[in-house]
Amino acid sequence: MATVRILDDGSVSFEGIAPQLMHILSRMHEAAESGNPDVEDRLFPPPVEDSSFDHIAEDWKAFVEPDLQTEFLSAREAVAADLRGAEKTGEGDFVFRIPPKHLDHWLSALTQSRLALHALHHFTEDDMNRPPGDLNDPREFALMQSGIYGSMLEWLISIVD
Amino acid sequence: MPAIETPAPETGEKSDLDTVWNVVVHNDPVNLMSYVTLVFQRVLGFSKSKAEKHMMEVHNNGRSIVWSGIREQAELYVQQLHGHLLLATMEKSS
Repeated sequence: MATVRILDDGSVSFEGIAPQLMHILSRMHEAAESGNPDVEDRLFPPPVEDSSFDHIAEDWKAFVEPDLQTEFLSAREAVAADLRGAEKTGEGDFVFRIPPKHLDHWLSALTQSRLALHALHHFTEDDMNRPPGDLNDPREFALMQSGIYGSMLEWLISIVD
Repeated sequence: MPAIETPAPETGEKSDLDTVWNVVVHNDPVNLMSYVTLVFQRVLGFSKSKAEKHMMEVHNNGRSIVWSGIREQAELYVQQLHGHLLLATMEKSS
């Protein structure tokens, strides 16, 4: 059974993580890196709605978006590094730690992934309020991913808040 | 001796410094309410109760003006809110 402990140095230790859950966590970066236009639109929204300020949006795309892309990538890489550090126990499950300085990266990467999955699969409010169906269906699998990432996000927020 | 006339500075109808810009956060059904509250506290320095009030305004009304002031600062806040993946825009205050 999965347990979460906060260690003396402020790290968060996840223990007893089933291989299936590790697999789901290891796929966190995929949707955000899909290059899908709907995903890009959601991760990099324009700074203005009024089309008479399109010049602001153009400058934003040229000068701000690259910084945001770098910021988001750094977060995903920090999370990937923590997951690569996971150790398999004798019982066949996994243990990994999130160091305190990576907690914000996890918040970002989990949020990026959820937003990207929703943009990619166009989940409706009804979808968000039902359990996932057949997990062989990529859309249903994505719905489950989003739910798991959301639960983890909620939990991490309660730690940093 | 005649006084030296100082030419008036050339300005448009209204200087950009006079313009107030609003930072608006828009509703997003995917972002968690607790996450939006946390971001408001961190980026805008809101207390938890003020952050929750604005988060609820976004949730119920679809948008909330979270800050008003000069354009440069508004741009900085929008950039920071985008960095936390919130849907934020800036608009001229009417």
